[in-house]
Amino acid sequence: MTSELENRLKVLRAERNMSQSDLAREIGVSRKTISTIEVGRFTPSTVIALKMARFFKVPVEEIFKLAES
Amino acid sequence: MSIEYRKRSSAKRLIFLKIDTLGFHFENFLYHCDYVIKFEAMSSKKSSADHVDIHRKILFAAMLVLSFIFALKSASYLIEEQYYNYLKIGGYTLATLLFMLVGLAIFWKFRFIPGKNISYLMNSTDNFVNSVMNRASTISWILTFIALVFIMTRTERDFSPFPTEFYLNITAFFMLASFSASFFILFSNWQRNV
Repeated sequence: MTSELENRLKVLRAERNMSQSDLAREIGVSRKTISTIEVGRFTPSTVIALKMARFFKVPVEEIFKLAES
Repeated sequence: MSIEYRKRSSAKRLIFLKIDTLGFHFENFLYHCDYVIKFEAMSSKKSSADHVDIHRKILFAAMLVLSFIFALKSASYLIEEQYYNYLKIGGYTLATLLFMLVGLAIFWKFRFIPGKNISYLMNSTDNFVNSVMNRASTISWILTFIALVFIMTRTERDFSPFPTEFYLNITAFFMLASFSASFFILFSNWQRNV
């Protein structure tokens, strides 16, 4: 897990009963990309973060936030 | 993997074993029973980005095979002549496998990756696989440089036990093997589908 970024992707997916593959298809990335973002080993680009925010209809800060040091 | 049970209403009772591997479907009729069991090893609904992942894995598998070919060419300078034929057979086998993998990669690209977004899918670091490829290339570059420095210190200007071709093949093997091995190690940690 990276030390700087936390995310709520898994929670948001669960609320909408979506699999990683479903979300990946909506965003236009691979399932592996979604999986590695969720566990914190891959930092998404700004474009991907904004696409996720648009899809979930929430601000980006509700999905990603800096970890408390 | 998902298992689907369906009771056949008709008199004909079959079991289908359907393995969805890399997009190809293998169906075998195993034996007759009261239920139709359909195994699906992987989801058949893959996005274009997922197909890019598969395409990359095929390419790097081909790269690994090519590295072994270079290793065999280097090994020909180290073994006795009586074993050359075994190396030749191994080389031809690997070359055939390489040809098949490259053909599969070309087929995969044109069959499953749409032309509309191909530049974005293949080159953008938005996808994890391209990020892994960049990191693997860095690792390979560093290791190959270290290997070259080692080779340079071991070979003297006036005396070298082996011809230049040997060292070139060793370097090519090391570069390709480290590149492909790094890629698979970095990529393979995230197989779980949650």
